[in-house]
Amino acid sequence: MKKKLPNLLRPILLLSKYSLMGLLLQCLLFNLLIAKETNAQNIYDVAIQLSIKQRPLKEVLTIIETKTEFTFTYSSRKIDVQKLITLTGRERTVGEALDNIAKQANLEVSQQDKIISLKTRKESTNLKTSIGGIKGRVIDDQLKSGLPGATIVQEGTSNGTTSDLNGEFFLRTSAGEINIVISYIGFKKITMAATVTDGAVTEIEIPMLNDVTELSGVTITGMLQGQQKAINQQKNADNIKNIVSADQIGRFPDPNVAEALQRIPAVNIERDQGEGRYVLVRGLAPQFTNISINGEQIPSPEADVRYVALDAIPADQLASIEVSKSITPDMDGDAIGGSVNLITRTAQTQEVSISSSALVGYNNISGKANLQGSLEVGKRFLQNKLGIMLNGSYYETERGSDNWERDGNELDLRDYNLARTRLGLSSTIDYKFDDKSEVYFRTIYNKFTDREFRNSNVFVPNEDNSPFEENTLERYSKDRLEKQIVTSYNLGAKHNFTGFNLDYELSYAEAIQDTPFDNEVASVTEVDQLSIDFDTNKEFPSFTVNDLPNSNPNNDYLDNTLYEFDEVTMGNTYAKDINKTAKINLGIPYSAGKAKGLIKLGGKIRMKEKSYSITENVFGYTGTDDLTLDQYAASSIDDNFLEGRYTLRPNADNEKFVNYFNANRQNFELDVEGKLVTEAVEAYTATEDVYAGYLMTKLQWNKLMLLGGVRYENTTVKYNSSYVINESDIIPESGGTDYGFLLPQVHARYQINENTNLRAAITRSYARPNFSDIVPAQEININENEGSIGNPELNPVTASNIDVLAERYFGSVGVLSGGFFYKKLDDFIFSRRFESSVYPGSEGVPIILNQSQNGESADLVGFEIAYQQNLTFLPGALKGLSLYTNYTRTSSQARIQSRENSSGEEEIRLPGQAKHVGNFSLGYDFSRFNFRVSANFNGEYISELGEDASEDLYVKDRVQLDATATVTINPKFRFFAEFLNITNQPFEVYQGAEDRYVQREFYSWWTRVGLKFDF
Amino acid sequence: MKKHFLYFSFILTLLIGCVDNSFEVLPLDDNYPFRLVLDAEEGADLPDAEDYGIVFKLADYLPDLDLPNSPITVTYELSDLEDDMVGNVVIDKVVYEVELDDCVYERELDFTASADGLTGTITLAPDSDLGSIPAEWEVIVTLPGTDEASGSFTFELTSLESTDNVLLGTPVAFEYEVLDNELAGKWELEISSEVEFESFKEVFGILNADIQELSFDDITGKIKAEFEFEEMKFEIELIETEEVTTCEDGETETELVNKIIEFEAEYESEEGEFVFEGSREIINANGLVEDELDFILEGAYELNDTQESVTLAFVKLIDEDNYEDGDELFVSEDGILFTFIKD
Repeated sequence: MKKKLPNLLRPILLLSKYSLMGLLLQCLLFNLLIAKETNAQNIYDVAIQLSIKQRPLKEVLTIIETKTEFTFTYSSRKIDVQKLITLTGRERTVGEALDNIAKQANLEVSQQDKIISLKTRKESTNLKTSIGGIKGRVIDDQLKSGLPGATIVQEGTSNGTTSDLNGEFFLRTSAGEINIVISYIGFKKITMAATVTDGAVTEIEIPMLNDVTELSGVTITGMLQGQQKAINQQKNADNIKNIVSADQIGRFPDPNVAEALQRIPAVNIERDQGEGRYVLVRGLAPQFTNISINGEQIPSPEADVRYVALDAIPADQLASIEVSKSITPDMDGDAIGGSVNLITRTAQTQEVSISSSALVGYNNISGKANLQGSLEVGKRFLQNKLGIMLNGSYYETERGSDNWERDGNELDLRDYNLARTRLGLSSTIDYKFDDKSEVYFRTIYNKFTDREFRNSNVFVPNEDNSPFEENTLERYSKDRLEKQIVTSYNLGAKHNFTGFNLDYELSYAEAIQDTPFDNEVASVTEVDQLSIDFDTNKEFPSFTVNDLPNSNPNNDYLDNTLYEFDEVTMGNTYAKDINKTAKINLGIPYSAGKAKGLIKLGGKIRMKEKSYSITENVFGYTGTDDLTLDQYAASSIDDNFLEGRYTLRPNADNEKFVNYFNANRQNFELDVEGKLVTEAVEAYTATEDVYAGYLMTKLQWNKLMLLGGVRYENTTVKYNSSYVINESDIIPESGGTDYGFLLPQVHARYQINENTNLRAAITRSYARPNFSDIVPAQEININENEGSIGNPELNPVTASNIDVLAERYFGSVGVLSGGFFYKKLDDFIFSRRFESSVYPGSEGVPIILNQSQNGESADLVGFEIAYQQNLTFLPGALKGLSLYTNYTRTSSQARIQSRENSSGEEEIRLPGQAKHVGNFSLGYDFSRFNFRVSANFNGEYISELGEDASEDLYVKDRVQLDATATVTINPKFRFFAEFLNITNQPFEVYQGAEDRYVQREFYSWWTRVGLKFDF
Repeated sequence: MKKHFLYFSFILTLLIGCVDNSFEVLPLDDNYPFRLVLDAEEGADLPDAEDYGIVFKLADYLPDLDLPNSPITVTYELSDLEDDMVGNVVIDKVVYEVELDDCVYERELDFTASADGLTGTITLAPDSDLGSIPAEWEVIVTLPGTDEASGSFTFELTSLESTDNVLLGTPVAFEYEVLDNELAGKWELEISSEVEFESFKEVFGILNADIQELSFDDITGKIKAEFEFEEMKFEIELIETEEVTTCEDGETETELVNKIIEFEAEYESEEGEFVFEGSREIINANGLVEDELDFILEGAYELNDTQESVTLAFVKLIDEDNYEDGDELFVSEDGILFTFIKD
């Protein structure tokens, strides 16, 4: 698969070559036609008798609506609703009455089931097969907000489309008088008449009436509407995807994007200090999932990896989150697990809309308050042409954790205190020149700061009573600030011409991880006796120091005067990742028999620049005066560490120590050699240029949609780094690699009935290696017969994916879905240990090298099932119940070189793959009250492979229980309260055997209360 | 109302955006000053030593930094003089070495001294060949130079003036004392049989791969031992010779000398017992140094009546990987004995 294609021409040539394949595919699809029939009620069979004299048309129609089951749709701008109507009472049926009304008001009447459309009568009907278009917006008639994912179909044909995130759509139709049918789960289906002129675009607005309003005791809230929006988009998507709308995010107490994503089927997350950070889709490690903002990949602020820490992005900044589990040719191909797209908001109406929230909370373990606020302002100007949406949010929390860790026979008691802020700013400016063309400029800025104070108490016993070692007690006090800044600018345009549509975009995205300081003070002492008991109480080990148990308050480990200063590490790092992207997409509609089709082709160039620099200064003390911990210790410490099981004493106060350091700079000696080696080995710069092109076609019959095509992506990587040999010789290195992939994708969706879909997809995708694996920064210690080297020849992991999914949607806003997926991964990447005489600085002597290499293949198979529904069919008060549940089971086998016998092979579970992942959430709506209890289950998974299976590290399964309560005071104000991690679930890691804990970290619970208001 | 709410919210957002969690105090860790320090904090020599060199240097500095090229003035003080050191210890000269064309030149630095010689200044002037001040120099102080001399003194740099980024670091106070342990001095062992040499190798062959490879036919039989302040050294003289060319102060001298294999360790001796501590190299199958392990060699010594010879008995040798009973690298209840003659 790997090809050397150095420039843009080859992909274009290949695209041409494979366009033929696309056309053949399209021909194959022509034969699959499924007819659709509609049922019509006869308005002449429904009796009515009205005697009305000179009343406005609008009133007359309302009267008919109240006396019958029929509903009228019409454009009040196009018909004269004040026209005075008279009915004599001789009309016996609705049909006769409407004939009379139509005559008086010069109207045409058409019906679809119980919906009757009215439009102005034309003198002549244009019957030629010329093309026009309807541009419209589907809105909630009550809340006046756009409805994304609505189905708009030209009546009696398979010609249709779906509304976008703003509820807007563009439908190409034959010119003339047509009816369009609009359906939306949770809303009444309606039929509207429209007049389409040849070559022109007709604009309409479609108000939809919520079904749920008919249910007494249920108040339409943003939450319910959010659920409706997400379900409708999901239903009408071309590929298998899950969508979480902003309003739906509000159902759960999830402050950041990672935590919002954990509620989606087959998604689990990795946490940091109790907060979700990385996303794992379908049991695959984070590097297998592509993260985008507004459809464009965002770079990773971290130095070594490509994936993005999603705790940097506030959840309330987004309009919705899409998780595509199968990719289409117009999407980036490097997404084996899935593709997460974060979508920002756009101004909707000419009325100023202001949404805001203010929250305060409390974190039990830190005993500190947290706060959050957000503000969103949007308005359209210049007769709807110009839209401006501004959004800002801020979150601040002081949290912490109590943690013990084991490394061999060493015990580490760690007390963390963190101050985190999360600032999100975004804007969307769009301008609609006319009904065919618009431009937009989107920006997003996210800044996440994480100030970490870590007090570490390490107990290192001299287990073997070696005369060369001592029993040592070590204290480390770390103070570090990390800032992650992700910025993205997208400038693009969309054109909906009658013959084709075109969109193009330029984007610039920048991700920075700036650690301006990372200081750690180490102090150490030696004791005569130290032993640690990990066995008696496996959950909380005990120890003795100088024969006194750890519970004794006079234990020597608590005496700060015994600890001498050892060393201080001061440093900073700066990682930057920039993506500059240009892309273009062209869509050409066509007809093939009764099927409506769209050919789509496009190209994309993405230039990436990634760099990492580090400063690390380690100072020892050369002063003649004793420097002991009590001289620079803080004044306080957590006095309830692990709920009082261990006593701690104040550790170094970094600020106090730095003051001492600055005043006595002459007494501190820099480890020059260590500095040079560390900085040379870790720093690098790299560029990565990606050229991509695709050709695809989509065909829609009445019930069947087929989508197929190919994508080609070529990647060229260049890098500059250094080798360090024998911890002294630093040799600059530069080089590069390139590879290309052809990715065929086929998707099918079959609509068994209006609310049931069957989906299937066969796709090909890949995942690029992390930069830390390919950049050949290396450390070779020939004398020690060992080294670790990057692997610039590393191939990306490739995958063939099969997905099948069935989904059943419910009118009361719900969905039941289930399906299975299979992925075959080739060139699986793992860390290999092997002997080689080929390495930088080699003189032919073989040494043991550690290097990331491509392994054999891996298989991943799983099924997922999801059910969510408002249980409005239940009797009485029970109809307020709602369920949100999902469960995913996966299993995997990856084949790697045996870790115990280098000539053999070994089968392992894919790191990051949890066998069981699920959510259970039970909600209850009563009048204006909503209460919800949510449990999120993450099954155990391998977090790190050891030198053999007994050393593999597993993250133990974890269930987090959260609760939220909301009171909708009025449509503008909502009060809510959240209670998270109610059961104080720890983060636990074990090694090999389930009862051999190596880490147990507790976060306690935290809570928030606040107001959300919309002006 | 709506407008006011908007303005207030935007201002609040901007203010919040400035929150940065920055460090309250910035460490001065990035200006990398040159630190002028002592090479060792203490030292000692035999009673009859006539002078002693105290080495000062600029502590490890980053390779891309230029050494100071402006004069540096330091003040010094001799203090705590005891016994025979009183009135006998002053600065004789301050020297440094410059290597030019493979030849070493010793050059002097200016210094001034008070009338009693106990205080004064030393000027570190840039060397024209180096283009900077020397990175290392030696203060030579006079000593009593008698066989019975005793006492101690402290030499300290007390201040520093420089226009460059140079600090007076630590340590800068040097404590000198007369070396008075029983093993101190130079000794010589004459190995006269293969059996005796194999016994020597039984201990020191483990600690030094070069010694392990020697056979009795390779050596002259002469092994010199030198016990200085906390450090000892064995020199095993080989039959094989080599030409050694030295160049000092412009004078080149070439001589044919026997090759020497050295063994060095730190030592402590007290009341007839001694301990050598150091590290030994582990050589892998490719002949490369794979690891270094700390070792401890224990033994006993006995001086004869005239103190003209000493018998060393090597009893036990352990290292980091081999220290438990039964795992020792070498153990002998009675010890392997070698008698060294005063050199």
